[in-house]
Amino acid sequence: MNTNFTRRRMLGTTLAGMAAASLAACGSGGSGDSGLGLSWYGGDPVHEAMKKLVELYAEKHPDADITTQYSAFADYWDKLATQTAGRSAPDVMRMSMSYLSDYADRGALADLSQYVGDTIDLGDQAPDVADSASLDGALYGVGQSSIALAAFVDRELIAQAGAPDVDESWTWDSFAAWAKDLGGSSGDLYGSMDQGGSFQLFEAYVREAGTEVFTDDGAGLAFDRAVLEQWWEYWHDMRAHRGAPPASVSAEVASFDTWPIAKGLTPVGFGFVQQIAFLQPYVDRPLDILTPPTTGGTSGLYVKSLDFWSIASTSSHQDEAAELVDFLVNDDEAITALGVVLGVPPSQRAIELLGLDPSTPEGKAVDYVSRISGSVPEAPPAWPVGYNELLTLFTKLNQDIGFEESSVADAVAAFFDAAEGALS
Amino acid sequence: MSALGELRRLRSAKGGTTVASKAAKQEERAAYLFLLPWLAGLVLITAGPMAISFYISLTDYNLLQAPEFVGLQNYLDMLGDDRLQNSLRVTFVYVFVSVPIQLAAALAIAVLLNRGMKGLAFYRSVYYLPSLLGGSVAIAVLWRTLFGSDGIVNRGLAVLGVENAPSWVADPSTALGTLIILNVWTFGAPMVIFLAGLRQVPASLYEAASVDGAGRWRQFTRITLPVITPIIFFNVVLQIIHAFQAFTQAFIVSGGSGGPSDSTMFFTLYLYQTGFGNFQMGYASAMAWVLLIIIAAFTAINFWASRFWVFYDD
Repeated sequence: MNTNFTRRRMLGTTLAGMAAASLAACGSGGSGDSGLGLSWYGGDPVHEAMKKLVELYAEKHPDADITTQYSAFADYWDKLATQTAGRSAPDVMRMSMSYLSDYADRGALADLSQYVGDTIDLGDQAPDVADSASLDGALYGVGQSSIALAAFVDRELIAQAGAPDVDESWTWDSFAAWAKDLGGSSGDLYGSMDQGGSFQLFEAYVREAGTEVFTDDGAGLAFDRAVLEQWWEYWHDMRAHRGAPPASVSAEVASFDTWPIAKGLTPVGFGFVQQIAFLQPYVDRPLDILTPPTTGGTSGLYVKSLDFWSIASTSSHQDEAAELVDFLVNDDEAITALGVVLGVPPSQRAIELLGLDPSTPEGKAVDYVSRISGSVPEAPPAWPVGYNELLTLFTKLNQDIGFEESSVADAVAAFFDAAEGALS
Repeated sequence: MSALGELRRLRSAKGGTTVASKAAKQEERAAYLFLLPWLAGLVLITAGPMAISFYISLTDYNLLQAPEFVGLQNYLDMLGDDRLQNSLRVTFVYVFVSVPIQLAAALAIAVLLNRGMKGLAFYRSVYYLPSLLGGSVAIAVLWRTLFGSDGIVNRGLAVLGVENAPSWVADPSTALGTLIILNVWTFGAPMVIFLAGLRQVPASLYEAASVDGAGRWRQFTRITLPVITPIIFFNVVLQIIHAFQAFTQAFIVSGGSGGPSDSTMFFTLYLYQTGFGNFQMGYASAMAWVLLIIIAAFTAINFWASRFWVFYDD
């Protein structure tokens, strides 16, 4: 009998297979370091607009040699973190408020205050916007946009469902009653998208109650447990009565085309105001922008910049990098080429330059920001180190409640426990 | 690792002979020279990073600042980390459900294909294809769509009269199941290995068995299975290791979140989130070492247990 299966051979092949598997797990990386590195995150519209900007810059600065790298938001941060750890971060990078403190507190970003008023002109930006990336007296980024939370409303769908129209006088209570009514009577629609997992809208809710989400030093949570309990109870009740879709529907939300409002499952969604431009193409009916519901008193909203151009502290071309940043936010042609793909432009001059038609989604977004800018309370300081960890946990815990994997009380306890570890 | 054995043999050969020691020395030098690329690879790509990773696992390291030594704190922290323990549970369910089903499917198809049918090469390729594609991002994206609320699976169910079926990837009770199906579907690699093994089973054994009146099933259980136990063993070891390391599928199907509600949060995915999402590289490195120990332990158990069921022809 000859089967060729000897012990030695099997052992050898098995080990070789394992070694091959471990080798296959290795990737490769590395990048050149000749010109000026520029990186950003975003979707295709952002990539296209940014490439155009780079071309424009190259026309005006023939000696500049810009290397770009870009990816979707989620993938961007792995690469940036690794590059930063290897001290090879791009000279100019798009930075999000979610990560600003993580990077700035750990010395990865250059202080730009020395350039402001000189290389970088922030004269056109509103103070709240221009200061958005300041931490402990240093400025770690230049705002790309003025951003505020908003409600997106599909009025035609509301009319089709036979529900009364909504306006900005809505309170959280009246909104819930209205949403549950609409969902309950229509049978195939839900009143609103589930926002129980939105840490940002929750921030507005907390601010209405008179406190900020985080303490001034960013080392802890400033709101009461009861506020979070109310919030999650509120949305749990909404899901139970068709005011919001069940958790399994919301768990499918990823890109804009999967938003329940895009699929025509609900007439109300929430997001950052410029998102209307990405959302509208998926909705056949026109969307309107309203301020989100309030508790009845003052609004908890604020207008500030949540995305920045930052410069790496390890950059050896900081002066050139600052010039590029100034171009990105102030150059007339750059402003026109960008439009609102990075959000509503951060200055009144840029807005006037764009001269958008107020009936377009972009125009509506710009109008909304201009309209609420004067009336909303002062913006909170930059989000603290550990923000991103809490942001994803917040969504996950709301999901746990929705799938009945956790009670509201347990979820609140888990969030406060995690905050203790994440914030410092 | 077999190269290390060669090296050792070369060394002992040197000690044994004194006559042609100069030639032996030259030969040894040549051997080291030829081994150099492999050794460089071992040191730079495998051993070096592993040593660094072990050091980092003993530190608090946020990627952006210098690591700070904390001893075994990261390992101790894991004991109280509920999400980590959940991720272990998810990973174990995935490994111990998907690997047996996958191997059973692979063996069954291999046996069918081994009957000397026409167009074997074609069928072999067709069944192997998923193995090439299964780990890819594109398939994971496709999977998300297939099992979504208005995916093909639910449209099929609607035809059968089941209306408004849930989204399989968005429900914590079924999401992991879709990933298990995806892994089972990639049975091609073990199948090809089984097929090669089946062809090595001597026909004379079957002839003798039919003369003795053994039926198909009896032949399979009494001849085929025992003879190919080394092949089964090989596949079990490799597929278990492979399944423990699964990442891409869960990452894409859950949109990177391991959701819904951590139901597809593989250990590897949690490790990734901890390291790159939360900047806790020390903790993530410690997790990687725990995964290595788990995989090593299961491999050792497999090798130990193989003494009782694997039949070698030597």
